Amino acid sequence: MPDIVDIAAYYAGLGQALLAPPADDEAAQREHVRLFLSPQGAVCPPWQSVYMAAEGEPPRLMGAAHHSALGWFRRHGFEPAGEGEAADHAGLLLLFFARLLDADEPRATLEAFREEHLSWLPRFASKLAAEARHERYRALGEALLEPIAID
Amino acid sequence: MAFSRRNLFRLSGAAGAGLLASSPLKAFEDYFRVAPVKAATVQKITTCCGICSPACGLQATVEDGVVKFIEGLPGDAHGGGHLCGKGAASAGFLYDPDRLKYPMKRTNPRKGFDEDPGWVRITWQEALDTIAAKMKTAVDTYGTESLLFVTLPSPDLWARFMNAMGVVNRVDHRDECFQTDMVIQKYTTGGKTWCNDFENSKYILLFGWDIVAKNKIVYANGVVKARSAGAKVVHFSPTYTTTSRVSSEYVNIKPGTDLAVALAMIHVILTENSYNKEFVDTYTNFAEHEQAIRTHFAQYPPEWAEGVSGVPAATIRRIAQEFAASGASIAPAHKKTLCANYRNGTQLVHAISILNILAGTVDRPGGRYFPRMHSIPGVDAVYPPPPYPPKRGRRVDGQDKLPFVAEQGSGMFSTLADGMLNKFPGVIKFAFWNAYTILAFPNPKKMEEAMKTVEFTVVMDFLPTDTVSMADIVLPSAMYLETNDAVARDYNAKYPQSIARVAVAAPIFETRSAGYVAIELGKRLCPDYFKLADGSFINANTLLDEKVKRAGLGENFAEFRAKGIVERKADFVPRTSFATGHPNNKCQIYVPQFAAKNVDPLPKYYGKRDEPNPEYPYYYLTFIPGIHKRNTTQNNQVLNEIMPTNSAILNPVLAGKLGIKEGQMVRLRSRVGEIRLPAHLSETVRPDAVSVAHGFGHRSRALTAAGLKGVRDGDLVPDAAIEDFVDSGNFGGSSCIMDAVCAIDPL
Repeated sequence: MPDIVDIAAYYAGLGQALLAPPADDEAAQREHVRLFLSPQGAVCPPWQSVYMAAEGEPPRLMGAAHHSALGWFRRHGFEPAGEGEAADHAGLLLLFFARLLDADEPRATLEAFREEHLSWLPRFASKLAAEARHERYRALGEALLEPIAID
Repeated sequence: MAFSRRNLFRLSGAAGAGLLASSPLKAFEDYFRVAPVKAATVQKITTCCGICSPACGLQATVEDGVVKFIEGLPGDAHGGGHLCGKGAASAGFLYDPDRLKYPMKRTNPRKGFDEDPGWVRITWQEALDTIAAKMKTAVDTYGTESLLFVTLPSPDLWARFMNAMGVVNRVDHRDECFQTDMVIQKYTTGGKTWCNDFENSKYILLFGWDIVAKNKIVYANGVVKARSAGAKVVHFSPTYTTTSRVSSEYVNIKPGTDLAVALAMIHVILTENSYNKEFVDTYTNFAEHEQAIRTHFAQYPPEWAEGVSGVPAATIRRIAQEFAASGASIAPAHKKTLCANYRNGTQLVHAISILNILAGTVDRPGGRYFPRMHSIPGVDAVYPPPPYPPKRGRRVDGQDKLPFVAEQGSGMFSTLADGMLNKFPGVIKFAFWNAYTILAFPNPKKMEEAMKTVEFTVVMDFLPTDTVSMADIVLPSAMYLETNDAVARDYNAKYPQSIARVAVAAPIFETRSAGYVAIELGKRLCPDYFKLADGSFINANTLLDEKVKRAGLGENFAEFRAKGIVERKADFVPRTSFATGHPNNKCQIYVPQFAAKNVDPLPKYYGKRDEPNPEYPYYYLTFIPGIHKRNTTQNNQVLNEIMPTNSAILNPVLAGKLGIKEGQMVRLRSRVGEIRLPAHLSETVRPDAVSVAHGFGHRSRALTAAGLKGVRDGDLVPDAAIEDFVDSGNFGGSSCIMDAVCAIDPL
C-alpha cells in the first residue's frame, strides 16, 4: 500500500466511491443503497443540507448548501451532469475539490471551499464508519474521518 | 506550488488508498458537465396546490430551480389568497430527505418488516422491462384477473394503460370516502358535485363532517363567511370539533344515528308540507311517487328518532322547520367523519340528498350546485384508442356484487383483504400500488397478510411508506410541484376557471410521474394504444398542449402557463334539467332504478354495524385531523411538529370512571385487534366513546419524522366481507371505517 499518494486522485477516488458502487460487486451495491439511498431509510444520507439545516429548520434536501455548492460549480464553469441531482452530495463535493486541487487553484480558494463544503464530513464519516458492514465503506468512512488536506 | 499539493502523506493507515481514482479529471468529468457561468435566479411562479382536489392557487418562490417558499395566490377564487397548513408546507414534501429517489429492486426474496430486502439501485429501463415482463407472464399464464392495481384511475394516461391491459381488479379508497355520495347523487340529482354555495346559504346543516378544520379552505371559508353574514349553521356530531365551535348550534348525537334524524326531518317537512313546492312540483318525481314517499316517511317521526339518536324530538322538529323555511338551505355530504362511513352511510346520503331536494336548492343559490367548467379533453378524446378489450375475470374485492358501486368503477378497500385471503386466494399474482399505503385499510394487519400472497409487487410512491417493505420493485414518484397539467376546477365553479399546474421545480433525482410509467409500460405491453397514426408514441407534453388548445385555454401549455388562470365569467343560470335517468330529467326522491335492482328506493333506517356491548362497551371514533391529509403527510417535518402522534381522546367523566389520568397509557381492544397509546382527556368527546386520529402508526423506520410514532387507528376497525354490504342496505358500499366499538383498559 502506498504511503504517498496523489492528493487529487485520492479525493476524487473517495468522491467516486461515494457516488457509485463497483458495477461488478452486488454486495457493495446492496451496501451502497442501504447506507445512502435505501427506500427503507438510508443510514447515512450523503447530502450536506441534511446535516446543516438552518437553526430551527428541519433537515431537508436542496437547502442552502445545495445553492452554495451549485454557485461554486458554476463560478468555475460546471454543473452536475445528473438532472435533478442535489449539488451538495458528499461525492460531488469531493470530486469538485479534487478538480480544484488538480487545477492548482489558489490556496485561499481551496481553504474556502473546504470550510464551506467539507467541514461537515466528519459527522457523516463517523456515522458511515460505525454503520458500514462492508469493508469498502468502512474504509471510506475511516478515510473521511481524517482532516481534509490541501497539501 | 503544484508539487506539494500533488503529494499527500497518509496521516494514519491507508484506509482510502484502495479507492484512488486512476484519473481525477476523468472521475470529475463523469459527474460534471461544462456549463456557462450564470448567476442564480429568483422567480415567483403561479401554480396550484395538489395536496387535495380544489387546486387552490399558489405562488412558489423559486431560487435557481429550488422552491424556497409557498404562499396563496392573492384574489384566487378557490383559496382566496390563502393556503391550508398542508399546502403551505408543500416544500417540505418536495425536499423531504426520506423521498424515494431512484428505482430499486429487492435482492432478498423474503418479505416482511424484519427482513432486509437487500435493495439495489436499477435504471428506469431495467425497472420497466422487469415490470412489463412480470405483468406479461401473469397475464399469459393466469389471465388479466391476476393483476391488481391499487390506484386511482388518474392521470388519464394511467387509466388508458389499465384499460388497454383489460385490468379487472383496480381498487381505490373511494369506499372510505365519497363513493356513497357518487352512487346516490347520480340517481337523485344527476351527478356527484363538489360545489356547495355556502356563501349564499342561509342555513347550513352539517352531519358530522368537520368541514371547517378539515380545510378544504374553499369550503371552510364559505361556511365562515356564511356565518358572518348571518346564516345559521347546525352541526350534528358525536365530537365537539372546530366546526362545532363555528356553528350556531351544536347537537351532540349518538354515533351512527344521524340517519334517524335526517329521516325524521324529511318526515316533518312532508307532514307539514313545508318543502319548496315550486321546485319539488316542477323538477322532481315527487308527484309520481307521492303516496309511496309519504307512507314511507310516516314511519319516522321525530319521537322515534329521539329514541334512536338521543336528540330531542322538539329539536329535530325545529331544525327541520328552520331548514325548510330559510329559502336557501344546504346539507352537504362528503366522507369520513360524516356518517357516510358507517354501515348506514348509503341510506344517510340518500336522506341528505332528499333534504336538499325538498329545500329546492339543487343547483340554486345557497345550495349544492353543478360546476360550470371548461371541458378539458382526456387522452382518449385527443387520441382515440382502439376498442379496449373486455374486462374479463373475477373481482377479488367483490365489487361486482354491488352493481351501483361497479357502475362507478372504483372498488372496495374494505373487502380486498377478505377477497384475496378467503374468497379468491392466490388469484392475484402481480400487484401495482400507486400512492396508497397499507394504513389506508381497515384492519391493515389483514391486508399485510393479503399482500404476502402476491408473487410480485411494485410500489410507486414519493415516500418510503410501510407498503415499500413488501415491494419487489420500488419506483420513485414525482409530486405535484414537479408536474405540469391543466386543471379545470370544480369546487367553487359558478363560471369556468381553469388553472395551470406548473412544474415549478424539475423532478428531483430520478422521480417520474405515473403518466410516464403508463407510456413506457404501454410501449412494452400494449403499443397499439400508445402509438399515434404517424407511428410515434404519445408524448405527454404534446398531449398537454393539445388538451389546452382544445379546451380554449391557450395555443399551447406555455401560453396557458403564462396566463396562470383562464376564466370565462358568466351569469349563473340555474339548471332545469337533471340527468338522473328520469324520462323527463327530473330529480328523483324515489329512485326506481334502485327498486329495479332490489335495493331501497327510499332511504330506510338501518343501524350501525357494531353497537356497544358488554365485551366492547364503547364507541370507537376515528377522525382525520385538519393539519394532515389522510396518512400521507405525517412525515412532513412542519406538520409533524404541529401534530406528531395520536392519543386516545376520552371524556374526563369516562376517564374518572375507569381510573385513567391524562397521559396514562391505555389499551383499546376491539373484535379485530388492540392498540396501546396515551390517554388525552377532553370534554369534546362523549362519555360513551373514545376518539383516535387517523394517519399515525407508520411502521416504516425510513420515515424519519413519522416512523414508529403513534398507533394505527385501523387496527381496531374490522374489515368486511362483501356479503355484509349486500345484506344491510349498504348498496353504495360505505366501508364502515368508523363503524367499530371497543373496550378500554388502563395500563
